[in-house]
Amino acid sequence: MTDEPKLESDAGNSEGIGVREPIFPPWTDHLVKLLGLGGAFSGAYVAILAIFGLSPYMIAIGYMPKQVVSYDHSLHAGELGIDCRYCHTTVEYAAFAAIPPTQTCMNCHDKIFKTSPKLAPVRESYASGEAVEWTKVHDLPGYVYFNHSAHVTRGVSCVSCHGRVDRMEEVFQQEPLSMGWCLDCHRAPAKNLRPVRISEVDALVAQGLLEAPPPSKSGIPANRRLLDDARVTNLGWGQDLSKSDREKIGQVLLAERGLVDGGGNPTVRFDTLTSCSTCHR
Amino acid sequence: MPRWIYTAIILVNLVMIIPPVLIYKARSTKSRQPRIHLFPDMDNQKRFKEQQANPLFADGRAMRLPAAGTVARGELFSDDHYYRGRTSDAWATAFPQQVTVNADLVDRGRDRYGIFCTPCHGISGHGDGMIKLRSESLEQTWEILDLNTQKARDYPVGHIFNIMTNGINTMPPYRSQIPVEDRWAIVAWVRALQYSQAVEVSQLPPDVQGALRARKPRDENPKDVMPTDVKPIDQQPKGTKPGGK
Repeated sequence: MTDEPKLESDAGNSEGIGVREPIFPPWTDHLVKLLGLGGAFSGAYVAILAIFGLSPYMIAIGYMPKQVVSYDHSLHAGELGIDCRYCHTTVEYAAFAAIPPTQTCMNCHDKIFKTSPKLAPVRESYASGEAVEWTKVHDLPGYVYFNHSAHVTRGVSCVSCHGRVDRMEEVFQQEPLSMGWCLDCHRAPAKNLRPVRISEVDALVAQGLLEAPPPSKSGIPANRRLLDDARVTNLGWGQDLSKSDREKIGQVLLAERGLVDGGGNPTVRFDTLTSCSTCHR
Repeated sequence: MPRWIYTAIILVNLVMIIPPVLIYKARSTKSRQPRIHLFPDMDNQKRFKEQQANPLFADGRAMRLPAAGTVARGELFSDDHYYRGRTSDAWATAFPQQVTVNADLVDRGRDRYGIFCTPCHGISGHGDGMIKLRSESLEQTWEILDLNTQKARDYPVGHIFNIMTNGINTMPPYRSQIPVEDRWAIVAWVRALQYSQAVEVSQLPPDVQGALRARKPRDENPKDVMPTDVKPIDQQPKGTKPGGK
């Protein structure tokens, strides 16, 4: 561009040099390369932003609605050790885990903290019969069928989907509850399975996958530990176990329940777990 | 190249850091806003889920109670013994015929007792559950019956069933929380507890008897003494949660 021929029209310009300023100065060559580089990079940039920004891990996790009563799960379920099923009574029998009626709160709170202002909505509800308006935290889309009892009674613990609710002062969504996340477990459920019967705990202890309960001081066999190991609502269970141990435990449980034979081959059709109509019916 | 181009490139790059930072912040913090529905079609359908509010009805509930004065098939509950623990005009002293008392029933009872009864009555029934301890530390406590007293031992099974169903004194009714068959299972476990807490040593299996006899009395066995540096909950400094994290 520098040795551009002199043009007629440039002849009479004021400075009389007669050389026209180039339209594209030399540095534009570098700029074109830079723009190309930037264009290529911005494509990757937008793609990465979309993947991370629109993933269910990003848009669904962390929802923590303000509830009308500041009920503290970490106190009731954590510190005081009240079993999840004391309040969510339907979880073993029905598809949905019921939010308890006000009567359940009043089992204790007609005696403890009778005048606490925090509990005023509960007392009003108890007196009037109107429901306390709790906000649902874990809400699946309307086209998804989820059955709590099918999971809990087979040893998929609350903690697998809801996280350590016994440590949450306010309940929030801990897992994405997306289709890919559900399928991750439905394709290979062993890693989330837990014992739900004492006999299953015994089998795991016999195989060395769980520690036997320590002998009690009195010499009388202690079975409290076994009970706690078989309690599906014991949210802290298995925190100290490695992923590969959880997988092995799951495989033993599948065998105990007759779902796989001795060689680990399925005796039932596991593909129904990933069939469309299992969850979209 | 002119300076402004370099400045522009640096500025653009700085601005490009902002969206990832915002995404990271949104990912790692909690939000009062409900989840984002990218494709909202059919996520929220025009139907009611369990326990949802429905403005159509006077009480605002989508779930309906049976119409007053109606009885669903199979829900007449006419069997006094099974549903109310009564035979003719007294508390039943035996389990109803629908309930088979065996090890499975007792195991079920232990499991259900653990859920619904231990908060107040405690694991072994002495009225020392976590709610009792908590209410004592708050000085808002009430009397909880020790299930191993002679009074509780003398209750006929039908009476224990009725207490669970309808409550008694300060104890609330549990009929809405515990199904009938589980209430009978708990009765069986309460009987097992009462037996376990008052059994004669001579009736225990020989190996357990041996272990018990070999054991020193409580105050001579240093392992049984509570460590002296543990303070009761109400003497701990305020703001600490015992055992909490």
